[in-house]
Amino acid sequence: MTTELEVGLYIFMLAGFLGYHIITRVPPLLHTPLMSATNAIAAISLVGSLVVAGSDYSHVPNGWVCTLLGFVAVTCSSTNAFGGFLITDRMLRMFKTAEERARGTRRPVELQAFALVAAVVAAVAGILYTTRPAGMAMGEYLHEHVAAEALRYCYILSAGMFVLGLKGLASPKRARAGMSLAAFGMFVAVVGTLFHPHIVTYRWIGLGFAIGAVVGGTMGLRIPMTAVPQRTALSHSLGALAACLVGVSEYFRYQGALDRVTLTALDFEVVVGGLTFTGSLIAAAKLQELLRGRPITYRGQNVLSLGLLSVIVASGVYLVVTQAATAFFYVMVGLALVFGLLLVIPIGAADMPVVIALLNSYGGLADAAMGFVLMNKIQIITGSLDGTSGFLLALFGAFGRVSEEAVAAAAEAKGSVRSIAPEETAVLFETARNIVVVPGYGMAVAQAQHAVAELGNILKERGVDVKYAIHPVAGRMPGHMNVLLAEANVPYEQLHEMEAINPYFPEADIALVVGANDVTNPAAKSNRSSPLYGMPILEVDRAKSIIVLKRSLRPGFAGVDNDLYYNERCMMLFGDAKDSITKLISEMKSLL
Amino acid sequence: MKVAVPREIAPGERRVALVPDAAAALVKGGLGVLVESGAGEGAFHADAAFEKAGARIVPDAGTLYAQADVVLKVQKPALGEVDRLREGAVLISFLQALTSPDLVERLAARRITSFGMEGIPRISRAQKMDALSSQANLAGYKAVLIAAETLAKLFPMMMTAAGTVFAARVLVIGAGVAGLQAIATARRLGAQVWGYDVRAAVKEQVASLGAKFLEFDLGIADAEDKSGYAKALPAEASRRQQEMLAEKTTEFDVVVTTALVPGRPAPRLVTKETVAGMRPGSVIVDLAAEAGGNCELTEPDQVVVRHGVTIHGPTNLPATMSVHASQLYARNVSELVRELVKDGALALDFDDEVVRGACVTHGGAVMNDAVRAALAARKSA
Repeated sequence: MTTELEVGLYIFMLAGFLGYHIITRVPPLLHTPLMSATNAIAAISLVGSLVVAGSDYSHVPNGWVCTLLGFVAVTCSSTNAFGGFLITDRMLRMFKTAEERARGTRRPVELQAFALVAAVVAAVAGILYTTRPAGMAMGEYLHEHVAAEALRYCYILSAGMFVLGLKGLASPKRARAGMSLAAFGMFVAVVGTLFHPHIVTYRWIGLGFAIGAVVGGTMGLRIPMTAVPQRTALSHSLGALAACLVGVSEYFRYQGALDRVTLTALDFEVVVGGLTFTGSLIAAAKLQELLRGRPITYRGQNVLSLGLLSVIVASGVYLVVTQAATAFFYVMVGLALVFGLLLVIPIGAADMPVVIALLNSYGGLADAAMGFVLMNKIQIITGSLDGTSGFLLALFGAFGRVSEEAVAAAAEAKGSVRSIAPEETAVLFETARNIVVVPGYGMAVAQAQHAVAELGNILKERGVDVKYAIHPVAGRMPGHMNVLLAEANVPYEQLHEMEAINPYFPEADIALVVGANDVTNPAAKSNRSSPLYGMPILEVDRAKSIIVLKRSLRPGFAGVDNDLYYNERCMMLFGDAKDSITKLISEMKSLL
Repeated sequence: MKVAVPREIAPGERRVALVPDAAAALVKGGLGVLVESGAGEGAFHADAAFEKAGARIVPDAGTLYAQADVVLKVQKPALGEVDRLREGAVLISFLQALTSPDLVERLAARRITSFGMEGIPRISRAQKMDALSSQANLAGYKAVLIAAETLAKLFPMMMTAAGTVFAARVLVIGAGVAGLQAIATARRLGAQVWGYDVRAAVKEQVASLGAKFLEFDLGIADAEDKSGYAKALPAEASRRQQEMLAEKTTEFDVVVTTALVPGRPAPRLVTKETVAGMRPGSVIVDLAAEAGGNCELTEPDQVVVRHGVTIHGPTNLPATMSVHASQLYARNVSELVRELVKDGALALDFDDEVVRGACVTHGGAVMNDAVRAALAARKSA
């Protein structure tokens, strides 16, 4: 017979795999929103907290302790839920699509979401109304008969919406809609839980919610983009605290008289929750520069940490073996809190993005453990998703992907950078008559010359005038672009040198910049303090619209930021140049 | 202000410091241009073409030097040429200042304001004046043509009714400007190409030309100095590099070496043992011949055959492409003149990185730090 535990483990494992596949598809550009999104979704620990805060403890000695812990947990989790979704949405709003730009408005995502919510609520109410047995009061019917059944389906529905929501982050275009879906999923799960049969009082739940909404809402709406990393760390710490407290409350309630499986999960939950709580607090403090950013080290550091860890593990094992109430449990929680401090203190502020991602992963695991304790499947799923995404983001961060925080900060500081997808780019090319291609070293590195030439040929066949603008110092050797374009059979007549092409840019419908950076930087003309000042550039910024193919917002050879990217007519097509053009070509063909 | 272009007197030098188009641009900018009769001959520019561009033809060098405010040259001047310059005149040329102490002292003694084109810094703004790059680029191209011409094999792969001919394997050591162009050219001729350089950052650049990068661990972090040139390696790393390169080099049909460290003898990368280990019929083109050669058996300006391997040691390949080499060089020096001359008078700003890098002597003193250090080192030795 399949036990609940087995089912839980299967779910945990499969959700992990699913998380891996979804998250590896998220472009680096969206890693920061991804982190806050998983963070927000992980606030599903709220459902566990709700039950704990609202349960009937009249038969438990000192039952108010449980209620209090549950209340704090509800406050923390709801802060995360509100704050997390709001800030994710703010980040995603920085990516506008061409269509939105063309219409000058954003797509009304909120309206659509609201309509969806209203429709679903109406449908559910209708079904309930018609299925209600004659003569039974609606309230009684809901509480006694529907709640437990409906809750399961609510959870399944929200799990689906969370997964789809995360999947939306694979493209900037669908990211906001995805997040609205995930937020709706959260709504469904929370509302469903409010009808949980164990919940007898709403007093503490309501209060916790109110505080969470105010604090989380303020955070989500007011925090500057540059402080996003700190906020994420803080929110991990709140989430972990909630997990830890729910665990403590459960232990207190049953005084350790639980089966060994539950106890194991509970140990894990409070220990990982506890260390993530203090670790994240330290990380946030370092990023906010409340603590010194440089690594703090002392003698015997490793011995102390390892010693502490072994005591924690030993206590955990002892608890599982004895299955009884003992002070060891609280010692273990205390040590876990200390261990979290020790873990993060020796790490410098520069490495914090990786640490935060890793703590995100721990927070997820604590949530999943909570799911096992309460046998709540949706918490197992989201905990597993969160754990995987945090772990992957830590890996990406550790291997030197772009620092997304830096990108977001730069974008906030200088105005927004617009990102565009190959599909949208293809539509723009449909209407263009004159196109200037500006190749650079990025084209060479991506070996995209053949793709560029193919694109040029397709456009030519459609009667578009295609010119290639070659800057005298494009690439890393004289004639670098010539060698590559010749290899791809671009005719010499289409190549134009800088002086000849510059007056033509204002006539160009699209300037397509393929991996060129410094040679297009308008700062060379206008900014006296720029190291590029005085270098003649290709005046790409005068074209009617500009599309830049680039891997990231990383600066070029001269190490300076390119003002071109913040130009209102400029759109960034992020990714490997060769991939992007290949996609663009297939989109253009499919439009025919 | 009169800008003068003498005929190059170094043997085999066919380039000229200014071509008619560039001369016309300077004339348009308000400068007088004097050209020694026959100066453009090696680059197929007749006196008449210069005259048409607005320059004045001067019959002999003596007359030219006597009138010149600014002298533009390609090759570093002979001491006799320095003596003919008017005191206080400006000289713009390759000077090889780091390795030509006698020349530097003479220039200082005659109070010449001299600029060495090899001292132009590698910054974005100065790329249009970077004559080392413009000329090395041509040398890299020609080196591969010489190799292809000498090699008794085909470069491209051919599958024919008479059997299959495999592509030649080409190794380019030193992936600076010359090396990268050599890689590009060899690729276009159809060879299988590998690049090698001590500067790890160059790997991406080699790959950007579609070639492979030869890699081995030298046990050091990186060997690139802050201006992007290679640094000399520590002894242990240098020995390991030689060993590992020796082992790999024998697998190639063509080896083009371009490794130079500014102001020092070229690093020895191909020993005579390595040459002995190469397949007979292989070809080495050593572009570092003038600085002592990357190959131990290289003889400057000679073609020698050792252990069946043909070794070329050309020292002035750009001169063999005098038309384009002159065109590019003329652009480089004209841009420098434009930087230095404001409203018809010399305006030197020693805070400017370009002036600080390129100016060797001025007002009787040696201005350049690196050159001064080289002179001091020679005196104490």
